[in-house]
Amino acid sequence: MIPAALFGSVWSDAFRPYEFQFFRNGLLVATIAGALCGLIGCYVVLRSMSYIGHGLAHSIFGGFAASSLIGVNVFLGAGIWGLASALLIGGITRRRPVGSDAAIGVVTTASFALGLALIQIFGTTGQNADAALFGNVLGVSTTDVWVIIAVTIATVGAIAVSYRRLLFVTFDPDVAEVSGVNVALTDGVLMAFLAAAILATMNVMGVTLIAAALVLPAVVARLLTSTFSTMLWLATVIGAITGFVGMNASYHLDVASGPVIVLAGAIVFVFAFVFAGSAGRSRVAHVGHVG
Amino acid sequence: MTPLINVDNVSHAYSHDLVLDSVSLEVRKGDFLGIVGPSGSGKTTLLRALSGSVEPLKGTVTRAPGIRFGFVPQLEQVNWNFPVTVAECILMARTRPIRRFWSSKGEREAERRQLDAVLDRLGLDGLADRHIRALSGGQQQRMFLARALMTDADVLLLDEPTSGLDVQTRHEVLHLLDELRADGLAIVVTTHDLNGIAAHLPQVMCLNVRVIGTGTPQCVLTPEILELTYGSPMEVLEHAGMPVVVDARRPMDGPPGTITLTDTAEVMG
Repeated sequence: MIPAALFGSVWSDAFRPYEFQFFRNGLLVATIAGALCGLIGCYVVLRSMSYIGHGLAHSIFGGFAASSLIGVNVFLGAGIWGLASALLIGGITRRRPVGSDAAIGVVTTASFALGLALIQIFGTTGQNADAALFGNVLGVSTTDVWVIIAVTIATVGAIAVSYRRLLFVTFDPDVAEVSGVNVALTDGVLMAFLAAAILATMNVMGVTLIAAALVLPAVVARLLTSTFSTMLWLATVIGAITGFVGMNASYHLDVASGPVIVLAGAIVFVFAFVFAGSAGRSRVAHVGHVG
Repeated sequence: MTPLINVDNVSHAYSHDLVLDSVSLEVRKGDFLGIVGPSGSGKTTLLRALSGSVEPLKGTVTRAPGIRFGFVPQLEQVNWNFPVTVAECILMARTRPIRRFWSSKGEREAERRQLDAVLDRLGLDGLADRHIRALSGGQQQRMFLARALMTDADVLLLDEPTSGLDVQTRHEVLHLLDELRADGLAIVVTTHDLNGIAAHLPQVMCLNVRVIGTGTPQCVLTPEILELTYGSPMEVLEHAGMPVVVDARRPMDGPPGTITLTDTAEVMG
């Protein structure tokens, strides 16, 4: 039997970080970021765009460093950089002038390397590079909270309005094109929202780990369902829970928020994988593959 | 009657490989055209040029204003692991007007009635909530037909619609397409299946980069045209007034043209 005093102490310790404004901000951003990444991650995973998400996050770091260096608002500078990268990656993927994996690798890692070089040479002005790389609850400001809320509302609104177009383009882009859907525009909008989501979650997740936050909730949801609409809300809820739990654990373990949130997602994945049965496992064995 | 689509002297190439050479074609309301030819003969490219998803390098494709297309892909090209039910798959084509999460109850009920009507017509009633992989080959083909119909299409384009289907299912699909044609749709199919499909269509085009022949199966499915199309000798027999095409190559038995058909079959035991 647990003594009342010990239980009270554990309870009190668990809620202690809630006394701090920075933690409440971080927790809110992590929970919303988890939900947002889970939602967009469904499209990323089903279109086999995980590498694009990973690369885009790294690419945005270049914009973060450059805007920090020249004193431009980081959301504006990195946002423009990220949007340009997203459209460039989208164009490469669609037209395939060279092998798309190789081209994406060159574009995004060059941008990431540029960001690292700029920071090493010139340092940063007020922005924490480590927070951008690995996520840090201390790096979350009230502005971050409003930015993630705005991006989430815009993303949910865009998905609601374009739900079937996005589904059609994700499932069968060639037939969607023939059936009158503007596939290039729909792809461009998806990439722009992906860039915005990465930008808004950068301080909590860190650019090196955002891809995991995009992929894990969606893969767990795919393990559990064969219905697209169910997968969307399930991935959103799983993302929110892992963000919430991961941020709390991050404080108590004194580890950067990004890795702990990703580890929370990985633990959920392992449980889902074990308990999903052979039917669930076969669903994720071929995610994004034709045949 | 003004054609829905007019293809005028169209040529197209991928890199330096010519896939269509000076192809001309008209598609009118109620047409039911089968395009036959070997792999790489340009059938799918022509289908995509008709819809506008491929812009030909030479020549013009003129489409009637406001024309709508429904496209049925090859089953082999479908991502069967995608998490989508039959109802979700069919309704994804309902993108006009913009569909929303918060559609009114009346809109949702009207759409559900339309979905039920399409499912019933295509023999898919009771399957709306199944995953697409849980259907048989014939049901999968009919599901994509249902999705194409949900676009309020004027022209149905089908890429190898009977590939991988058994004889009975193939017959059902063909019968269904003929019903849709009788409703006024124009239908264009590509097929390798000369006897199962092409011989039963009102119009056939033999294509091998260029148009080798076009017309009724009786006029087009001749040994001369088929040899030019496929590059190998073909025998054409007649059964119940329909042409029956037989590959005349018998490398194990001797030179071309030595086939004999009998009315009896030996049961191997």
